Amino acid sequence: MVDEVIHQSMRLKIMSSLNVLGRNDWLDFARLKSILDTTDGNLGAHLETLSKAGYITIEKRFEGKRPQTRVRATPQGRKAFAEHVAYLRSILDNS
Amino acid sequence: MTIDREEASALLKDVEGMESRVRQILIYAHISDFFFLWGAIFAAGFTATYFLRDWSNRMWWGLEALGLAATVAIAVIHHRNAEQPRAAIPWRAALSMLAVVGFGTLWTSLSHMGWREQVTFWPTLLSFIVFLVGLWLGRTLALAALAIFATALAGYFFAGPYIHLWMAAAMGGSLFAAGLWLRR
Repeated sequence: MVDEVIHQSMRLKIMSSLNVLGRNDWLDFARLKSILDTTDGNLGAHLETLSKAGYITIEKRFEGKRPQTRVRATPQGRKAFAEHVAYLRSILDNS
Repeated sequence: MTIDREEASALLKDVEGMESRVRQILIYAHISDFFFLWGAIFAAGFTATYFLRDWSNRMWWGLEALGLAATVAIAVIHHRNAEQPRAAIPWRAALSMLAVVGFGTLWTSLSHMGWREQVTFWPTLLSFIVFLVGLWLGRTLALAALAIFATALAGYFFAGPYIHLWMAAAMGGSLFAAGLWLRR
């Protein structure tokens, strides 16, 4: 079963990145943007979609005096990602 | 929506590529913690040795014990926070450090090195090991280790009587800089 939220290429890359992190780890927005080689607007829009689906948590805070946005995958997001990857593998296995 | 075999294969390649890239970033971030720790230990040890030479042996034993304990503590923290914790990792970190310290102690004792050689031996040994690890984990780590190795060797040839202060500044500084570089 295709997960329409995760299936989009950029969102799949975002979930792949966040899924590798430890359970209590966050990824900084700027670092994620550099990993994905994309723009603020594009990344922001996809993060919003993933957040609305309950797959990630977005936190805005101050580190010292600098504003920082950071994200991490929720347990629900990790589960959805694992299922989507398993689905993709099953396509290869069954063809 | 249907996905064909080619698309599924391309998407899985994307997933693997991203996972491996983020894993490397995480490994570098973890290694940088050890660079900061041992940079501080080298800086403190060599500075203290320059000013309090009579106490240097006892000081270095204390600092190495502290470094070993802190290495294990950092490994435990990383391990607890890992997505798939593997219980053996903190013990492997501790045993690896013990093996390196044991090997170095054995050969500095058996080979009757002069004091300048001993001062240079430890930083070059550690950076050599990091270089070998870097050959497997990533070019940035290997290059950082080479820079640290070269800095230590330069101290041996050019720092004259100030070799301890050179090592304190150069090793502390280069390990700290390398740690920051790995985290960039």
